[in-house]
Amino acid sequence: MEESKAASLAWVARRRNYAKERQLLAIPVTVPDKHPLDDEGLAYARSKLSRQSGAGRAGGAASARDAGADDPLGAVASADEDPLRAAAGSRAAAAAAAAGASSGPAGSHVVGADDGRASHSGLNWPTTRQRILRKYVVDGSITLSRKLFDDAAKMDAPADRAMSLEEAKERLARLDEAAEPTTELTQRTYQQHIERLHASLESAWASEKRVLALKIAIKTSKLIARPTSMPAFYPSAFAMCSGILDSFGRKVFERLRGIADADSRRMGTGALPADFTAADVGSATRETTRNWLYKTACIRELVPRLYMELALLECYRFLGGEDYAALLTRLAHTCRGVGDPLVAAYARFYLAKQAARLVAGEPERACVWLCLSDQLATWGLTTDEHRVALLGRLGVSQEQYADLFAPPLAWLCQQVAWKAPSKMFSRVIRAFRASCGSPVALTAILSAFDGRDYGPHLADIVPLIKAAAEQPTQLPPADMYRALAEGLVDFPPPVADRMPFLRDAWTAVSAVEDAELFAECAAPFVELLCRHYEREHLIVVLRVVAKRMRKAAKEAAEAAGVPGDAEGGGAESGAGDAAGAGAGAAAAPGTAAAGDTGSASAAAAARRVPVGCLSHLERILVCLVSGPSGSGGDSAASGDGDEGPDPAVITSDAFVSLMDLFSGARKTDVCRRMLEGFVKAGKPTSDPVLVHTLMDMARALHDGLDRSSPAPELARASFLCGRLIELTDFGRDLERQLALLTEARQSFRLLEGAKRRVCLAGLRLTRRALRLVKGRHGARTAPFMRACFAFMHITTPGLASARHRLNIYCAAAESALCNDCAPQADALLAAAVAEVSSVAAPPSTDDHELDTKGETFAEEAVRRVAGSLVMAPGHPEAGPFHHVRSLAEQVRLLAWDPLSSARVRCIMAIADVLGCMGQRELPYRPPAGGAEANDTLYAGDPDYEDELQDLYAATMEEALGAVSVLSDVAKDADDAGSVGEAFRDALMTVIDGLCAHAELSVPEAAATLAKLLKLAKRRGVAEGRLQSLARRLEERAAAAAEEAETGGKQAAAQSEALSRLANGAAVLSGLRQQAWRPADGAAEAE
Amino acid sequence: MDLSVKLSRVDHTFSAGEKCAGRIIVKTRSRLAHSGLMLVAHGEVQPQLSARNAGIFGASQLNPTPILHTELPILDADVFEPGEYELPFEFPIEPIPGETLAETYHGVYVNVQYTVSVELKRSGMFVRSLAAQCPLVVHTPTEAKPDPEPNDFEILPESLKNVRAERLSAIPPFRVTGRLEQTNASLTTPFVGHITVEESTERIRSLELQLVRVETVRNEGREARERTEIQNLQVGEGDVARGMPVPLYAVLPRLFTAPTVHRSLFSIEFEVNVIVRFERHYLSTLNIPITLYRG
Amino acid sequence: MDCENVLLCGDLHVPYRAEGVPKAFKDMLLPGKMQHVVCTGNLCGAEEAAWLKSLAPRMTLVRGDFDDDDSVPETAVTTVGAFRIGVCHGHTVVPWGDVEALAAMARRLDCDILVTGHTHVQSVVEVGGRLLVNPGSMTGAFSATTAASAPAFQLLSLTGHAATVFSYGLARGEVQVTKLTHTKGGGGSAAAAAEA
Repeated sequence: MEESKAASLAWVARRRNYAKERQLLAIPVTVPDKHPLDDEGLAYARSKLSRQSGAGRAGGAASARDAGADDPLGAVASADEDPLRAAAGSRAAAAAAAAGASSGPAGSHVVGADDGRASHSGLNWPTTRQRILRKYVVDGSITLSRKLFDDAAKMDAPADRAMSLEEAKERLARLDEAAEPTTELTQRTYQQHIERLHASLESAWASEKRVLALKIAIKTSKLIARPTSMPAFYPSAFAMCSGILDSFGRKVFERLRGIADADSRRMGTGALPADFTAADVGSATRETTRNWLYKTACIRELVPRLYMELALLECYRFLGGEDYAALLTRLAHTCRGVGDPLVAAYARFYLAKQAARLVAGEPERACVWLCLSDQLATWGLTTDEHRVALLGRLGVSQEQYADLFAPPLAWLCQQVAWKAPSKMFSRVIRAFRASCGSPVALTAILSAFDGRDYGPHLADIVPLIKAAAEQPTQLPPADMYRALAEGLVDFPPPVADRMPFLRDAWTAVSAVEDAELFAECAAPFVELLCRHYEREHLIVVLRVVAKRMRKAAKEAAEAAGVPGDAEGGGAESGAGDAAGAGAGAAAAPGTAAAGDTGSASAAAAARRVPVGCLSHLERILVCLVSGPSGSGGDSAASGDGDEGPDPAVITSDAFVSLMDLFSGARKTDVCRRMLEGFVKAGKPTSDPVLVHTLMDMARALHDGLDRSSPAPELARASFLCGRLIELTDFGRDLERQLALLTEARQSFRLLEGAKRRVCLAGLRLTRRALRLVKGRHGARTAPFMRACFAFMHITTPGLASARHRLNIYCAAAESALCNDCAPQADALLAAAVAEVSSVAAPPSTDDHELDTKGETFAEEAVRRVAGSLVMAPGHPEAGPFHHVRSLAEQVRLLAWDPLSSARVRCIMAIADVLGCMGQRELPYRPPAGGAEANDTLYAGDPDYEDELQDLYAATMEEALGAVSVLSDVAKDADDAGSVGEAFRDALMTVIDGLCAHAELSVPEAAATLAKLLKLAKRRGVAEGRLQSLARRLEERAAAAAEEAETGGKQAAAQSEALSRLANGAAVLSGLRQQAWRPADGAAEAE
Repeated sequence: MDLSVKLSRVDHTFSAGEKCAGRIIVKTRSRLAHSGLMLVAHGEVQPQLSARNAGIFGASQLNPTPILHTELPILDADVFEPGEYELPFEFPIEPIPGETLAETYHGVYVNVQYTVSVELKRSGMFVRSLAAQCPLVVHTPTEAKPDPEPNDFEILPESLKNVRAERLSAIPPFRVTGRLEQTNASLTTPFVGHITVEESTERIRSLELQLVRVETVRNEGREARERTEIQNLQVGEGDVARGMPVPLYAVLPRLFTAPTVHRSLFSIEFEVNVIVRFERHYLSTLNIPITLYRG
Repeated sequence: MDCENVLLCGDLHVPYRAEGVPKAFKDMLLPGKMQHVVCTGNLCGAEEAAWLKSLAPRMTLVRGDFDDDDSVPETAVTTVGAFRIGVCHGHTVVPWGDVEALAAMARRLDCDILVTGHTHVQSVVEVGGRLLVNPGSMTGAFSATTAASAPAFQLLSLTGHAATVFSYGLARGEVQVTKLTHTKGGGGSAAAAAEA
């Protein structure tokens, strides 16, 4: 590489006109008639969406299929998550949660079906079973027939053999002797018995004793064929036994599937598809299936036979040709034979759940509706004299008894309501009105449907609730109003009905004695009021809630019998009340201080608030912070706008006193959840009082964490606190915004992510300022800008990541330049340059991989800063190039890997910056009104020009020197491997840099470039790359030639030089066979 | 040396008039000389002696009546070289002239059974003939589907069986109605209908559908009759709601049933009992004869 | 011949500089319309990333100076149909958006089309037979030199050796579209450039 040294004087930065070059290379554009995302497609997509929302309730799957048929693109689109499904799912889930019976994540309820039927409505069987088991717990003992308690192994054969009529009569006689031997079990021992049964089923199946397995399953179903001696235990018995039946049904299905699969493989048609139909199944499988079904069809007793048929329902898929609807109708009718209403209700429950395995959509609804309407029609059985007498003997209240029906009713109602056409609700209500009237049933119905269904009929429903409350079961109406309120949250009642409804409903809710139940009922009302009522009504309701909660806390404290505490708690809670009210009146910044008196006492009292209340109170608080169109809101339905949380509510005494009920980890948690609510609603706020309250929450969240908190928790908190800052928008009041940022910086010390977001928010603020002043700052705004950049300068060093610091410094410096804050930009740039070495510093480990990463980041950092320096003006004292010099110095000082091209690439980045700085017009600069850049500052200054050319030449020399060092190392490695690759990369970077910014009409420069090209060719640079470079040089030669025609000697000389070089490169790379001109300089050099 | 016979259908079931097909499999490791391979299909009605009909039949009268007999020579005398041979066969399922085929059936008094047997005859000092057989199941479908002849029924206190007429007035009033969709029923399709407790002041304990088979044998003017419950399905359990139709539904058991048969020597008939059992110990049974056919 | 549509976008800066992609764009960009998404980085927000990912089966993403995830590469090359597409954010190009520097990067990555961002200014040029495109900022975020930019993106429609670039921009609430075509291996001659 010694030849390059001779050319040291050859390096002159050429003149460029970036804008013109770009213009020359641009491709002419047209306005297209049609484009891939055009209106036709758009209209189509919109119509599809609206069609889905229109048809969604009547069966989304069908409409999606229709849409799919229109257009192949549509098929893909509809395969995507259907937003309606998600919405309806959450609606069902909410309803389920409200019913206290069943809920859970949507979609786990799998329909085993052939045409991709939708996963179900959010009905979740395992969760529902668990809830039943938790809810229906009994203390006493359960009487169980000895025969049913016997071990599975000792079971006698089911009576499916023929017997003479005499024998049959004897059997009847035996049955008539009701005095079977019995045994007494506790819930625990009962459960153990069930577990044993389940285990014996598993082992029987595992040892291929299918008949024994069947017997065990039948025996299981016998356990729930009659009401248990203790009615309250029946739901749990059902939940336990149905688990075994499910498991048995699954086993049989899987076995048949296995046979069918083996058949299918043997026939050479491959594995049985998941959505198989009977047509895919061989005759042997069908025969085996029929055998299983025969075995269940001949079970003598009704309920076991019914349960076994239901457990094996899915097996009908192997038979095909069956009319599923007729089958399900028969089974639904069969349930009518079950005289005991509780047993019948749970059998229908199981039928409904199993039906979804076979059919979906309208056939499913038809069968479940049959079950529901029968259950409602026979409601009288639950209250007839016989039953009342029986319950009286057992000491079970009618209210308790009616409540046992809640899970099946909730399930049936939900399955019927899922995507139901609007007339469904009227049908259900008609059936209810005709024969039922039970509050349990009405709660289930109201929970399953929603405001879309009953909003318009609210005036008719309230009387139904009142009538139901009059029923002998004496259930308070609050729960029905709660269900109604849940359904109305997303779909509000007509305006005219709102106040009458609230009066009726809230009277009922506030009459609830139990604090926990009250809180549960109040929660949806707060949500409803928050979304669709006036603020004053909401605040009234909140006050009642707060008062009730304080009262509950006080009572609990007294009940706990801690006299001092109770007394103190009582007295203080009164004081807290007053203080809270005072704080509400004072409002605004004083709140925190004013609230303190109350909060200390209330915090003590809060420990006594029944724990069950807290989750409902959390819901209330989160909803208030989320604002009117908050979480889960379907914007189309709620319509009303962009409002965030209502500051008047958040700062109300009631809100504050509800907040005070929380303390410790629970408080951290509720603050986190409230911030989640606010962030999820995503509505920017400009209200200082609200922001103050939210900042308090954020601080509470921050203070609840420490450095040892789990990383995901810290990350989440960072996100929430950061988002809070981002969602705060004080509009033109930039100073308040900056004050908030300063406050945030101090408050979120622990949260790295939040601090970074605060910095970025600061950066955004500086840009907003620029926009507000329309690009020009005056005497009033300039000091503020300086404060902003001072903030950036102070805040950024607090970040842990050098890369983040460097990038923020650069962006801040750019912004400072645009904002005409040159001195601040200067300081920020200096900080950025200084940061390069920290980025490069190998991370604390000596892991090699990380080490090279440090190197890559260092290169990225140098080039990033270099980009910023192009638009940065010089310093009045330190000179026009002081940042470039110090960046070059940094590059010199860094411990570069001698075997990589990073150093050369960094030096060339500096050369490129210098190349730019020599231009009459920079490629980019701060906009008008910002700081002046070097092109204006030093235009035509010969000293500037000289210094620049010297620097440029020196930098090029340095680059060539570095390449030369690398060349020698690579030579030793025969240019193979990574070193050779690094060398070629470095060499081409230099060549590309020369082409970009060096004046090539200087003969020495051209000669050196020609030599470098030859070297590149010799050292294995891909021909394609050289060809491409040749083409670019040709293009430039042609452009220069054109320019030369309109005058300009310089252009002619350039054109000449470029042509020669281009030709040389073209020959070298094999693009052209021969020299283009005999007198070619490059050719001569060869 | 191994001889076996296999029918072409897994369930060994063929209908009268069809051709019964199958294979005879001969496996041998050594040369096997024989004097002919013969297939015999045979079916007969076999009265059975039981304690109940002891008076009607003497032991001598228990001779079976052949109704199918087909002899089919498969091979003449020859030699099997070592190896495995499959010899297909086929014969029509037709009665002995003058007889009618009956379905394969195993009852209390009477059995109807069919077998396919093969014999490889061998002669010589130390060799035995080889024989194998397998059961054949014969179905006798009816050509024309008979009219279903639905039956609407009503059960009233008057139909109580175990109550004397003079005490009838003490029985609380009730009325149960229903319908059987077919009294001419196919063996292969479910037996359906419905039952409704229209009114009953007494609580109901159970509703049942009982399927009864009546087997009769005759000999010299004497006859014996045996009623057997072949299925009892509970369709209502407990005090069912009034006025709600409950399905009557039965899949007929594959064993124990056959098409209704009337012959000079024996007959097989069926009836259903609709049983309403009340909380207190009385029950009401409605008996409805039905005819079963193979459709 | 099959046409492959590639969405080109970048510099969303959500939520640091913008709250989200304009609704007008979101309404147009539906899953199934394109087979590939190429993003030049500075996406920043996870929600935005998930949305882009949902638009097409394949996505190519590079890291911008404000992206967090160190595992995302600085440059990437992907092949769609007959074209090699290089992607880089562009904050390391000196000077930003320079045609010579970008052409050098295209040569370095050996790609037919180079997609870069960072300047927040939409552009398409053809240098030495290669196509250099910049889709602009999809959210209209501010850039180093401006307080705001016009929200923009591009759609690359590739059929055989022909590439059509549709440039979308939002101006005064309306989406405006322009189109231009490029042929791989063709064009790029000095004469063609001069005519333009």
